[in-house]
Amino acid sequence: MTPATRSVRAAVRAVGVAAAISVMASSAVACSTGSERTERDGAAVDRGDMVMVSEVRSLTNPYEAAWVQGSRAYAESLGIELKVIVYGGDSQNALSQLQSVLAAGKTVLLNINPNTSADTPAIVRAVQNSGGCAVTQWSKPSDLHPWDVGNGWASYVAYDGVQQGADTGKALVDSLGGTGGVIALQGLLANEISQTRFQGFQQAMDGQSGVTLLDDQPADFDRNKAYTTTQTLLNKYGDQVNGIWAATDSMALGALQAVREAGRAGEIKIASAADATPEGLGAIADGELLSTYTTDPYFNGAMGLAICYQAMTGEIDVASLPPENREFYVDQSLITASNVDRFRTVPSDEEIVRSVQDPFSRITGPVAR
Amino acid sequence: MSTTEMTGEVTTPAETRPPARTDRPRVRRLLSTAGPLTALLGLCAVFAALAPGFATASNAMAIVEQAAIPVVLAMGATLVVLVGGVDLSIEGVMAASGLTFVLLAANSVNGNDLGLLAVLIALGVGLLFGVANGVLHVVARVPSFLVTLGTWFVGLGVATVLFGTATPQLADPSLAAWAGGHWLGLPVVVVFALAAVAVTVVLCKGTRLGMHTYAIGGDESTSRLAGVPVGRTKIILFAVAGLLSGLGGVLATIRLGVGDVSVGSGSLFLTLSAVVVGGTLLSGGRGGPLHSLVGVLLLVVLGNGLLLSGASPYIQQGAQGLIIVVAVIATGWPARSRLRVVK
Repeated sequence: MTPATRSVRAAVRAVGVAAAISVMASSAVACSTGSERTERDGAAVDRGDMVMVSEVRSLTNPYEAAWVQGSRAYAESLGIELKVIVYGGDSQNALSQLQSVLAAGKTVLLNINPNTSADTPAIVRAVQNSGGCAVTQWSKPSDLHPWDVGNGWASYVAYDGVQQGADTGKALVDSLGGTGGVIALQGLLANEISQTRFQGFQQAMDGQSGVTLLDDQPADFDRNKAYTTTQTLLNKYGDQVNGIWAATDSMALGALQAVREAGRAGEIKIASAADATPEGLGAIADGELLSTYTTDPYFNGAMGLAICYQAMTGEIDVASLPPENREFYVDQSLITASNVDRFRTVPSDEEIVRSVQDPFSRITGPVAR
Repeated sequence: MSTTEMTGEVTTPAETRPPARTDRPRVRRLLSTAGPLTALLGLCAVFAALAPGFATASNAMAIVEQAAIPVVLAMGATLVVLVGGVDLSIEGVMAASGLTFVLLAANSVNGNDLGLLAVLIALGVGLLFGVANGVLHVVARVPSFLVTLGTWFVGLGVATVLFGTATPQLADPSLAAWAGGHWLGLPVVVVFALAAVAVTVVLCKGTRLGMHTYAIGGDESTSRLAGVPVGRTKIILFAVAGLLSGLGGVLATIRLGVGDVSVGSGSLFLTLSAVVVGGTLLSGGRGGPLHSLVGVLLLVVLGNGLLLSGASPYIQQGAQGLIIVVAVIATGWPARSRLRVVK
């Protein structure tokens, strides 16, 4: 037995023990959330007993950074403590960090963008059982509804990906004058929002006959992969390519880099279907990108907390809310060169707080499934 | 990364073979050297026949350009694998160096404008990470895959802190011009890649350090007895690997035009796969930089050719994985008795 194998064995043993402990810990958590039910009895909660939690994947993503800024503006306006949880795309981490905040004893008001739809049940039940309130956004299992879980899960907020894809696809077709060839870059193939955007894009393509879809490839939401994929496809199709559609800004910007290096900037039109990142908006203002879509992250970050705050103070009664206030699509807007300047300014804290005075003001309809 | 079962036994070298079979090792060595190259040429021939637009000058240029940054990274990874170690910190170091670079060069977030000095400082950050990897591995006697797993996430953490809240955009026109620019008629990234290959080849084949590297990979305890400075050699190799990861991070950041924590995402898989596919043994001692160059080209050609031939995205991913598994078996088969553990 060499020193190397010995140390590896020790390491393996340590990892094994750590894994066992974490399994025990999570099962203990599961037991505790299952047994102690302290669901609220409808009495208003004092402001000093509340803690607001804004939970996102990463702060290096401009959308989520803006979302947290919206949460912060709203929490500060009420003088309530805000905890920001960044779980780095790790579902287990997302739940365990939330558990430690729940265990601290204050009433939790949670606004979360879950890692995957499968994480939703565990998150909302944990919050509900601790007597708190949760609003989840973007994704959930389609057969699970807030009214089935209880009053601890106030609302589920979603964004219509089909509309994003269809509007940006139409903008691309129009910019080509109705004839030409286009390439589509999807996100991760298994990702639901990426699928719905592409579905919308295909609807836009079906509605006309002059523009052909040459190729569609997944670029995994990754800027580098979008760059290399576009570079390769430009070699394959050459002058047949007149337009590129990408599911997000970062992929559109990767494609833009490849188009620039091929010496065809301005000649190939590029449409992004989502995110409205500062860089994407800058590229639209410069005429290098055609479109993007915004769901107003500042509003989203504050709105979820506002719904919970109003539920906790008794301003609204979650149990008697109609289904369309428990599960809904929120208004979003197409951004093109004609209106880009309006979206390039960051809203002030007062504007953010004012926009969520009625957190249900931007409902556009029930979630289509 | 696969570690074989750890039986803890000290395996004895294979029994001495009868003299009639002395030519076998030479045949094997030839296979492991010429195999990947033959595969690369074969793959090119197949795609040239099947995929429209594959055998064109512009596509050849695209392949070379797409392979450039992975080649830079693979050179460093090869050195570490040659002594039987592994460096998993590539993506973290790329992120830390990339963000250091973009925040020190002219950018949209702060008032710095150090120009080329920013590149050098970012390379220094990569070097620091490499030295830390080497020292922790050698002095603290922690297996390299655990140390570098740790520094991978340290690098990502450093990058996330540097990133702050707003995406820093590179605003230095002369550095940004490297993205699509040419030197000596070649894309800038390709010039860097060729330089990295040349330096690594010289280091491996023409210096005492290279001789020690192969000796340690071949048999570490015997080398130690023979007076080879094992610890010092390993620290230097990890440092060079960190430096090259840093260079990869800077080049990738220039290509994107923005600082991004996920600038290296996917690089680790591609780099280590390329090292293995190229025929460098994970147990160390055999292979080298030119093997890895062929390995990177093989994987890039595979991805490019499958995309051009219109294969489904699912098949593209599966084919890459399959090729790696086959390559590991093919290169590791003759040495399976020695593959006890990835050191």
